[in-house]
Amino acid sequence: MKKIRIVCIFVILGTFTFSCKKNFLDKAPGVDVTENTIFSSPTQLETYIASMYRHGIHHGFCTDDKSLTESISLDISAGATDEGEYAVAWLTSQYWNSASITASDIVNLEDYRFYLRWTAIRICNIMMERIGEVPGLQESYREQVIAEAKFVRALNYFEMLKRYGGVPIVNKRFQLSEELKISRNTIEECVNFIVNDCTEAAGALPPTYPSTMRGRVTKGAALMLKSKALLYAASPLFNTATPYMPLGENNKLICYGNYDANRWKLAADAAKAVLDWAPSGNCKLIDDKGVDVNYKYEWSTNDNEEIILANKSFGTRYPWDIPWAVMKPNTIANPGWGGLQATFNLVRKYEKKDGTPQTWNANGGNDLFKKYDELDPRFKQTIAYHNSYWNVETPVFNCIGNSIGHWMHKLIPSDLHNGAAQIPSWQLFRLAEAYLNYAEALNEAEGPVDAAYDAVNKIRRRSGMPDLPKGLSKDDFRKRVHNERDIELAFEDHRFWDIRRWKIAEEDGVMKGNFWGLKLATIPASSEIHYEPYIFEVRSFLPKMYLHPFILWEVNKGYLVQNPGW
Amino acid sequence: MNQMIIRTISTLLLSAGCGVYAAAQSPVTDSTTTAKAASVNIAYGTQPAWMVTGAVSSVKGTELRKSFNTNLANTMTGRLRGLTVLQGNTEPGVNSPSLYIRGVNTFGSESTKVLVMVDGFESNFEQLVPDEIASVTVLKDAAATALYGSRAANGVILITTKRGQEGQLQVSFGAQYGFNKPVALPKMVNAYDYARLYNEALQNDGKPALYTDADLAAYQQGNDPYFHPDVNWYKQVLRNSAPMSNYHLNFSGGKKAVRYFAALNAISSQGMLIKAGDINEESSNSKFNRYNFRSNVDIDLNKTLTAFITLGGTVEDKANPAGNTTGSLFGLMAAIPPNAFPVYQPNGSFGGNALYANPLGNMLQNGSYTSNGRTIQSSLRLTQQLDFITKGLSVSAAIAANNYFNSYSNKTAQYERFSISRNNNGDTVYTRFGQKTSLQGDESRSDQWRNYALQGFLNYNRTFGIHEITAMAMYNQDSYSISGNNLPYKHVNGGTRITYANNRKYIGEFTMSYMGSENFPKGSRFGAFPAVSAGWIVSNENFLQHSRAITFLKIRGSYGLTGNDLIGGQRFMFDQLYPFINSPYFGTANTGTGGLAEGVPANPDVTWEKEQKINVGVEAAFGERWRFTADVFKNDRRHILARPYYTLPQYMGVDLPMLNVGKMNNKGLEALLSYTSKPTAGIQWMAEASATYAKNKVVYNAEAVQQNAYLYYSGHSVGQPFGLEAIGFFKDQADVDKSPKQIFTPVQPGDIKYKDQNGDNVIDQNDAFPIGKPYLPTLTYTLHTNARFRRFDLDIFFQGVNGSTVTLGSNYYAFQNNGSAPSMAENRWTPATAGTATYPRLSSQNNLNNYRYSSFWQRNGSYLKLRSLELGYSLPASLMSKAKMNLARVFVNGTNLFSIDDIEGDIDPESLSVGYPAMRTFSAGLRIEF
Repeated sequence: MKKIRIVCIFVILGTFTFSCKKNFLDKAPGVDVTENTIFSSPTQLETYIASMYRHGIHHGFCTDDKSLTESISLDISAGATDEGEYAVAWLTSQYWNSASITASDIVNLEDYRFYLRWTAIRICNIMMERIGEVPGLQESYREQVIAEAKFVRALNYFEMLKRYGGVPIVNKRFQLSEELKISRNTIEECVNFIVNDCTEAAGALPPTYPSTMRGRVTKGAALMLKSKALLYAASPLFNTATPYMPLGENNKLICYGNYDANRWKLAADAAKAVLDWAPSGNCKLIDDKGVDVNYKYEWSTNDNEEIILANKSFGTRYPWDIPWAVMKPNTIANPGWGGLQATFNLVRKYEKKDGTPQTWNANGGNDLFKKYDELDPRFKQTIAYHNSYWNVETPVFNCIGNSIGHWMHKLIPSDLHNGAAQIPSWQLFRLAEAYLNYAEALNEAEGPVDAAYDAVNKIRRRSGMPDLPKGLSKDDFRKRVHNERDIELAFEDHRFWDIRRWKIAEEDGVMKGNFWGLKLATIPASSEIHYEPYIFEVRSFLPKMYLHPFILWEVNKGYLVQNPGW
Repeated sequence: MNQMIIRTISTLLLSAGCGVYAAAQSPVTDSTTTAKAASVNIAYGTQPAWMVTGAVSSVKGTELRKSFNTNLANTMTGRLRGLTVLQGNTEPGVNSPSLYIRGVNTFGSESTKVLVMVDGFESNFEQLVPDEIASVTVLKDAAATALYGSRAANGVILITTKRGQEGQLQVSFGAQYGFNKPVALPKMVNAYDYARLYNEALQNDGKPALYTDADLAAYQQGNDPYFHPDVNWYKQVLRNSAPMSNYHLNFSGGKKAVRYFAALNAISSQGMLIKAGDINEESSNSKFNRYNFRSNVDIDLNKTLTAFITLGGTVEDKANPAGNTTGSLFGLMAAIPPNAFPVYQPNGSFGGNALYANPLGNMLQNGSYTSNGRTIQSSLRLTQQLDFITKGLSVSAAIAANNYFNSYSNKTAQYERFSISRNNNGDTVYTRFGQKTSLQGDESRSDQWRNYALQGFLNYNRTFGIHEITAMAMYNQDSYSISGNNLPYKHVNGGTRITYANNRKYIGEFTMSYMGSENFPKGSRFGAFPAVSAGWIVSNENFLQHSRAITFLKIRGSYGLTGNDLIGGQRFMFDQLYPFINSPYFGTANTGTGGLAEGVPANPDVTWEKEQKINVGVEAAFGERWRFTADVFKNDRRHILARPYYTLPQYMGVDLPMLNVGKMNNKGLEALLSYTSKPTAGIQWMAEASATYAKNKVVYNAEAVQQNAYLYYSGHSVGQPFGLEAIGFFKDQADVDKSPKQIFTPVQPGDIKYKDQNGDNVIDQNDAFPIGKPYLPTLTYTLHTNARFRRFDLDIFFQGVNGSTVTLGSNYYAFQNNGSAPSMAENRWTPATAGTATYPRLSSQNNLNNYRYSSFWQRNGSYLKLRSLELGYSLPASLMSKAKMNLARVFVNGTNLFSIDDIEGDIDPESLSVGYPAMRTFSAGLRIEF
C-alpha cells in the first residue's frame, strides 16, 4: 500500500514539473511579416509596391474597397451631375442633387477614400524612406519605384485638392509619438507640391512597360497628372483673387488669392508634353476601327492603346457583383440594383452629324428615331436608348414607361452578361483628355489658335464629326471645347469636377433648376416613337458645395480649418 | 400593461405573505445559500454554507428539468439570481443564448463572455441535460471568483455533474413527450389588402395604380388562384406543432470503495417545417437529436487515495432542408408579397419570380444540410490524504480533456420555378427562373473546440477548538484551441485561499491568484488578483442566540480585484503585423499580385481589463418560515480596450492601436424573499420572489469630440441606442414647409417627423439622440411557487424583465425592397385617419425617411412570462412499495405559456426579428425511481 502512495505522490509531483514548461505562454512562431521583412529583398518589396497601388490608385466605380476602408459610396459621380439620375432613391447622388450634403457623412456621400488616401500617402513616404535598404535592388529600378511613389502621392494630393482645396502636406512618415499639429497648406503650396512630384517622377519613369506590368505608372501618367493639376489650378475656382465664398485670412486655402493668366500657359504646356510623349509610349487615339465604333471600342476595351493609366484593382466580376450590379439598369433581363439613367439635359448636348445643334421640339414630337439617327455617332455609343442593343440577354432595350427616357450604357460592356464576367478597369487617364486639356488651356492662354483647333478636331474626326467652324471667338471656342469635353468624357468622372472648377455648377440647368427627361410612347401603326420632354426633378446647388466639407470628426480634432459654409 | 405586471407581482407577494398554514414533509425549495449545513460549490472546492463569505447562488439540476428545452442554458433562465439569459435564436440545435452575470461590466463586445466550468474545467456545457447535473452555481463577487484571476471579472458559472453515493443501486427513469408551437408568427396582409394598400402607396408616390378594380375583386373573391393568388407561406411550409421528447435513465450507488453514477439520455426536437424529406428524398426532415451519456466513478484506491473519474459525452444529429439553419427560409416567407405567385402553377411547376424563390420549392428541391456533433468531457482526479504528515492535509492532481467536434454535410441543388402571364391571344405564357441541377455535396466544413488542462491542489482543513482553518494552494494550466488556424489560448494560474472561522461567528477569508495568459507581452503577462472577505454570523452571538424571531443572521462583505483577458481587438497586440490585402491585378490577365499592408501599430503595453468588486450581503431567516437574502454590489472596471485615435489627425495614415483606457462601472442589488408553509398534513407550499437589478455606466471610452453633448456615448449604459426621435407624423404640407428639413428623402404629409435636437433646422445624423434603453434589461425578477396537496404537486415559475428596449426591424417595413406588408400597416396614416394612425403613410418605393432606425420603431421590452408550470401526481406510497419503487410520478408541463408585455399584436418581446419563431412547449411525462 505504501508503494502505491509513494507512486501517486511522484505522479502528482511529476505532472507539476512536466507542466511548468518555461515557454508555455509564448506565442508560437508564425508567418507574421514585419516592416523589416518587406524591405529585406526585392521579392518582398513587390508586395509593398502592390499594396501602394491598391491603396493609392483610385477608380470612379462605386466602392469595392471594403477590405481597405469601412466607408462606402455606391454611386459613380455622374449621378450627381447633369449627366445622370439614378433609378433608385437610396443612392447618395440624391443628397447632392437636393443639396443635402453634410459634413458628418461626407465619407459615405462621395469621398469614401478620405482615410484610405492618407494611408496611401504614408505607404509612399515609407517606400521612399526605406527602399534604399533593400539589398540587391537594381539602381534603375529603385529610382523607378521612388518615382512611382511620388506619382501615387501626387495623385492622392490632386484628388484632395479638387475636393477640399489646400490640405496638410505630409512628406514623411510620422511616428505615433511625434507632436502632431500640421494645419492646411495653401492651394499654391499644394499645387506646387503635386507638380514637383510629377516632374520628378516623369524624369525617372520609363515611357512604356512590358504587358505584364500594365497598370504601373509610366512617364505619360506623370505628365498627364501634371497637366490635369495645372489645368485645375488655372481654372476659375482656384485662379482668382476672391474665393467662391469668403474664408477671411484663410482665403488662400481655397484659392490662389490672385488671377494669373500664365497659369493657363503652364497648363497648356503640360498638356502638350503629354501629346509629345505619346508616340514614345505607344499611346495613340483609337481611330482605326471605324468612325461609328472607335469611341465604344475605346471605352469597352481594357488595356487599349489610348489608355495612359487604368486602375487595376479588380479581377473579373460577374454582372451581379459590384460594380456592375449598381450601374446596370433594373429594367433589363437579370436586372441590376438601380442603374444610372441619362438625363435629357445631356442628350440635348449631342450635336447633329453636321456639327450644328439638334433641335428638339419642346412640346414633343413623333420622330424620336429620326432625331437619334441625326446625332453625333458618340450618342449611340454612350447612351442606352429605346430599342438599342444592350447585350445578348436584352437585345432590345426598352425605355418606355420605366425611366426618364435614356440610360447610361458607357462603362458597362455589352459583353457582360450572366455567363460572362468582365474585368472592370477604370480609365484614369486617356490620351483624348490630353487633347481636350490642351485645347482648353491654350484657348484661355492665347485664344483660339490653330493648335487649339487641331487638338479638338482630332477628337471630333475620329468619331466622324466635322471640324469646328473657323473664326470662333475665344468665348465661343470655350463653349465648344466645354461641350466637346462633356460629350467625349461623359460618365468618366470629369463632369462632377469640371462644373466646379469652371464655377458653373450653380447655373440654371447645370446643377440647379429643372431637370429634364423624355416621356416616350409608341405610336399606333408606326415604327416611330413619340417623345415629350418633361421635368423629372428640380435640383439645387449651394455655393458651399464648390468644395467638399472635411469630415466633421476630423475637424473636431482641432487642426483643420473647415471650408466655408459647412 | 405595466400595471398588470405590478398587480401580478403584488398578488403573488401578498399570497406569500398571507400564509396559509399547512403542512408536510421536507421543504420544497430551490434554495440557495441557506443557513443549513449544506455545502456549497465554490471556486475549486466546496465550503459549508455558513462559512461562505462570497456572493454565490445555485440551483439544483432537478429544477432545470422544469423548462423543457434542448439547450441547458435556456433552462437556467431566471433560475439563478444574478444570471441573465438572453434567448436569441430559438431553433433547436442552433440556439445559443447569451449569458450575463449581474449585467454588463464592459463595453467590448467579445469581452462579456462568462467563464463556465464543468466539474472544474472550462468546457462547453449547453449540451448537458438537467438529469446529469447536481447543481449549477453562479459566482459573482471578488471573493467567489478571484481564483479565476484574469478570467473572472465577468463572473463564473460552475456546473457540477452528479456522482454516486455509497448505498444501494438507485435507478431513475424519466420520459417526457410533448410538442412545440410557435408563440406567434409574423402577421402579414393578405393578397386583397396587399393590392389595396399597394395602390394607395403608389398613389402617395404620385404613380398610377397597379391593380384594377377587377384585380381587387379577384383577390377578394379568391376565384383566380393562378393569376390572382393569395398565399400564406407559413401555412404551406410549417406544421401546427412539432414533437419533442426526452428519455432518461440513470443508475447510481456504490460500495465503500467504488461509487458510480451512470446516465443515458436521448432528447429529440423536430423542427417546425413540414416533413420535406418524406416528400422528396433529396431533401430532409427537420430534426435535432442528441444522445448524452455519462459515467462518473469514484474509487478509493486505498484508505487515503481516491481517484475520481469523470466521463461524459454527447452525440448530436441535426438536419434541415435547404441550409444549415432555417433563418433564410423564414426571411423569405416574411418578404414575399402574398400575391407574388401561387405555390404551384397550373402545370404543376413551382411558382416563382425574378425577385423571390418559392419557399416550399426551396425546402423540397434545394437539398439538405445535416450536421453531426460530438463532445467528450473527461477528467481524472487523484486525491491523496496526507494525514501522516499533518492532520487535515491532502494533495490532489487532475488532468482533463474536453472537446467538441461538429462536421457538416451540405447537399445542394437548384430547381426551376415559373411565373405566368397571358399573351395577346390569351394564352398562358411561362417564364422560367432558376435552373434544375443535380445534387452537389460539400463536406468540407467542420467546427471544433478542445481544451486540455492540468491542475494540482494542496488542501488543509483542520479545527482547533473554536478555530477552524481551511487553506488551499493550487496550480492550473490550460490550453484551448478553436478551429481555424488560431493559435491556442493558454493560461497559467497559481492561487491560494485561506479561510479562518472563529467560534462560527467570525469568518475571514483571503483569496489570491496569480495568472498569466498568452495574449500579453512577455514580462507583463502575469497579474495578481487578491480578494478579502469577512462574515459575521450575528445569530450565533449570545444576544441573538435564543431569539425566535431572528433564527439566522449573517452579514458578509467582500472586496477584491479580478480581471478579464478577453479584451477584444486583435490578438497579440504587442506585435505590429503586415497583413495581406486585396491586391492589384497588374498585367492584362485576371491575375492578382500579392500585397502586404501596414497593420495597426503595436501596443506594447496591452493588458487585461481589471475590475474592483465590492459586495455586501445579508442572509437571514425569520422564525421557521421566512428567509431573506440580499446583496448590493458595485463593480468598477478599468483598462477596457478603447479606440483613442479620435484625437490623432488622420494624415498620420495609420490608426493608433487600441489602448487600455476605457472605464465603466456597474452597480445593483439582488434580493430574495421566501416563505415556506408549516409542515402539517394537507397542503404544503412555498413561495419565493427574487430580483436582480444592475445598471452600468460607461465612464470613459476615449470617444471623438462631438459638437452636440447628447451625442456622447459615455455616461450611458452599454448598448444605449442612438437614433432620431420621432415626434409624430407630418399633418399637412404646411407642416412640412414650416418644419426643419429632413434630408433623407423629400417628405410629405403622413411621413414620420423627427425632432431637431440641435436646432440647426436640418434633421440629419447629428440629431441622433439617446433614445430608449439598451436591449439588456436592468431588472430581472422571478416568482416561484410550489405546492403539494396529498399526492398532487404544482410548480409555477414566472420570470420577468424590465428596463429594456426592443426594436421592430425591417420586416415590419411595408413594401420596402419589393417586400410584403405587415398587418400593422393597416393602421397607416391617410388624410382621413391622421388622428389615429399608428403607421406612416405608405410608399411603394424604399423610403429612407420613415424606414430607418428611430424611436418610432422602438418598443418597451419589458415582459412577465410564465416560464414553466408543472402539475404532477405521485402514486401512493403503498402502491409504490409493493412495486419496490421510491417514486412514481406523472406530470404535465408547459414552458413559456404566456407573456404579459407592452408590444401590440402577437409579437414575442424576446424574438422580434424574422427567423425561427419563439416556442411554447406542452408536454407530459412520467418519472420512476427505484
